[in-house]
Amino acid sequence: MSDTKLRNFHEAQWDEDLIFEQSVPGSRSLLVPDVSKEAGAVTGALSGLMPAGLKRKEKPALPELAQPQVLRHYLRLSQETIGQDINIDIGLGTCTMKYSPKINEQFVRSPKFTEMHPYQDDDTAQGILKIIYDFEQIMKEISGLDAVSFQPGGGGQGIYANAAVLKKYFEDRGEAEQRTQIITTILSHPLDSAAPAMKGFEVISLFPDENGYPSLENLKAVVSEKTAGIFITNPEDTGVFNPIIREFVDVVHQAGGLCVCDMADYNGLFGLVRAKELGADMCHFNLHKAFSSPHACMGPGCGAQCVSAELEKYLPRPRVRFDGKRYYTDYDGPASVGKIRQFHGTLSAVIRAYAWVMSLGKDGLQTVAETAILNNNYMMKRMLNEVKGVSMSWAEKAPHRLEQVRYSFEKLYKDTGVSAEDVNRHLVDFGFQRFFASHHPLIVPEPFTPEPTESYSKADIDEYITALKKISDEAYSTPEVVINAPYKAPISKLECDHIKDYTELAVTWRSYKKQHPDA
Amino acid sequence: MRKLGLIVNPIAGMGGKVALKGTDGADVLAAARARGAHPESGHKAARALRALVPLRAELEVLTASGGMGQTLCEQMDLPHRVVYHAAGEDTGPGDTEGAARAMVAAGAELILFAGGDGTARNLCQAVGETVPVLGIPAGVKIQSAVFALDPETAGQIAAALVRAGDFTCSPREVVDLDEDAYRTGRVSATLYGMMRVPNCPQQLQSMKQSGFTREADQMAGIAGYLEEHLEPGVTYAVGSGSTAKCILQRLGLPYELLGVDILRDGALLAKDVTEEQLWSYAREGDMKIIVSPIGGQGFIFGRGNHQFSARVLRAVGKENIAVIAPESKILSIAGYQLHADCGDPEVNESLRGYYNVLCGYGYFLSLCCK
Repeated sequence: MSDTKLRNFHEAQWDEDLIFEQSVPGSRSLLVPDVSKEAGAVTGALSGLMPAGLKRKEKPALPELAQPQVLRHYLRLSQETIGQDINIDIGLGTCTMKYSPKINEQFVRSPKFTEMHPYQDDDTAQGILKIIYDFEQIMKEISGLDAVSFQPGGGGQGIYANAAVLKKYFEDRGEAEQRTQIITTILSHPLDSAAPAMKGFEVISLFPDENGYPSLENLKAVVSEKTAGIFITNPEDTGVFNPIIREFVDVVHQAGGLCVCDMADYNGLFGLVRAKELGADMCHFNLHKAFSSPHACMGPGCGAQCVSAELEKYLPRPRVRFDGKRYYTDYDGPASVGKIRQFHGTLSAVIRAYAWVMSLGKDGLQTVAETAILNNNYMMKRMLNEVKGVSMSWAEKAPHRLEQVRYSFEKLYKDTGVSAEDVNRHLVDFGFQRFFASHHPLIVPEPFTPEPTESYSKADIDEYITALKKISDEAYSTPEVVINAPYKAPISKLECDHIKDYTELAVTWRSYKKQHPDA
Repeated sequence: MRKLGLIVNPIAGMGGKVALKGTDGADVLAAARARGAHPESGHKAARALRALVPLRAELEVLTASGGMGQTLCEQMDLPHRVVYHAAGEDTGPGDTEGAARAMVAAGAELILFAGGDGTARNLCQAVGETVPVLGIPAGVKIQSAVFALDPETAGQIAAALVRAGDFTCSPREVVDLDEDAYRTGRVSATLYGMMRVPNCPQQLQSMKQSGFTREADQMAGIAGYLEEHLEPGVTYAVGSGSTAKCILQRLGLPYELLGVDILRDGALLAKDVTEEQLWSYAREGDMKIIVSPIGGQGFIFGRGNHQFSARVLRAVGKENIAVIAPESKILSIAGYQLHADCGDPEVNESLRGYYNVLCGYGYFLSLCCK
């Protein structure tokens, strides 16, 4: 390990103006011959071809630039980005940052897909409909459940769609007024609370006991005739697998509730555990995480929603069906929760995930999980043995982890005054993206949640740990060096607590002006 | 230049190691000294102040003479100004109060104090919620929710605040045990008021954080939910502290912050009732209790609300107790466990088990009372 070298990195800083500010009136990227006369002779007056309501009253305010300026602008911006493809993105745990094979980009950028029109007749779109249908069969196998919708446009919407199905199910049974409560756990994703709350449910959240997951006794204490279901992640964000999940589900089922599994943290379970065997009535997977489609900052994601046969009729519309000869889009479904997304949802994510699964096969998927678990446990061993000031909650009763670990820098902080946030800012000095601390609430103090997926080599993990060791050493010898980081980023340390208070948060110029009318 | 108040209660903690349960009062101090007690709080304050040493260029410590802070600042070479001079060798509650007032007058942005519940109580008496405070735990009794977990953490929090500039605060409880009663084996605590404690930037408040919602929003959600779920004909006994009183604030009713108030059908029946009065309501039946745990330590009964006596709690029953708290307060409680101590083992036993603690609109955290 001693030969692992840290990079002499410095982040790019181009001080680039907005492209609109670079506009030079009259500048053009392409000069095309004016053929309006010849074209007009064929088409007749253009004004007659377009309904008045579709015509712009003013020209669009587009920047005017030549090609090299445009290219330079976007290349510079790309250099200022620390994305998944350019850094060792181990730090962003719970997000399952993995390599997205570039050949899959060819598929989604093929005109066969990009030229498809949302209102195209099914008879001329049999290929894409077949992919959706076939991938549903694959996801049925992976989940063990009976029907799948790719309509949700992300993990959160996947959970929301499951909450909507749950609500509809109890409405149909005449139990909606009685079953008003959802149970979840404090270490499940916050949306497992928020999405049911959006559907009008009350939410009861359980704390872990010394095993790292809630006790059965606690669950039994909160389950009642009001229970509509449990929304649970397994493994939770800690990477601790709840081994008594079947007992959990049984308790809820016996009370008449349903089990909704959040399979967003699925990367360590491919080929090993299915939602059905966990006892789930519903679950969702994030195609933009475990299934390699990129995250791309709030999209293009897909939360694949999987349900049991009993709940299939409630799935969002449309669905893609096959009558033995022909694939077709089915908008019909009186019991359905309805439409939650335009047309077929985010199909690019479906195509990438389909290609990824097909390239790996059944055994390949299992290798993904096993490699992710191996990587994580290798990293865990080195983190706990070699990085001073790092600890792991529930280590005594739960010494093993699946695909990720929620570590704590509490000891480092108490010993040196260097917080997890300070470590995070210093990490960017070594060419890594900032790490993910924890979902809220932060019940693990000074948290850090890395996830070394199967995409990373031993050398990658070693480089990451070497950086953390150096930062820890600095914290103990010269804490102010870490506290004042970063040094190799274009922006130095900022106090940015305002992003934690929505009343002060301004992510656009317009919202900033709203808060500061005099600006 | 940041102005930081520092008050060391030089005698705090002296009674602890010689089994005197506390050091309130001159006679107890004398007894502690006779038993061989040595000053404790100075060492603990020094452990906290270590984190401030690297920041001496940005800092002016406003402190009190001699053992109340001056000596320590000199030893640690911290830039300081003595804004209060104690009259004699043995300092008392009056000195804590005088020093605190002088620091507020001199523009202290945060008062760091080393002591225990008694010191916190004196400070609360002097400054209330006018200035942010943070306790360095150095006394025998540490029940109030205004102390950091340990001296080092107090120092780190203060250092982070000096670096950070702005910070927000939440009101937290100041409780103190009656030492005379405690020495005879009885636990009797009174809620003396609230002080403002920093919600530290960079996840420093107990180094835990509840999320992107503000405590005020969570409180509004709690109050809104309670209001919608008030049942006609039920007598609500609303416990002490600003969290529990949110329902009375919501209804625009007057209340006694440190006492128990009685609410029924949207009207305030009685303010600041005694145990005897509360019992007379409880005997009528159909009573529900609304309480909030004390931050940091999690007591729902037996600390600062003795009106909820064993007989009252027995009559009302666990199923009629609504526990409410914003998430940030829950995260401040060690082990996320509630405690109840009404003096009767049998009733205490009946209060054990899980409570769905209301933390926001329709949002509950399940906490165990042990």
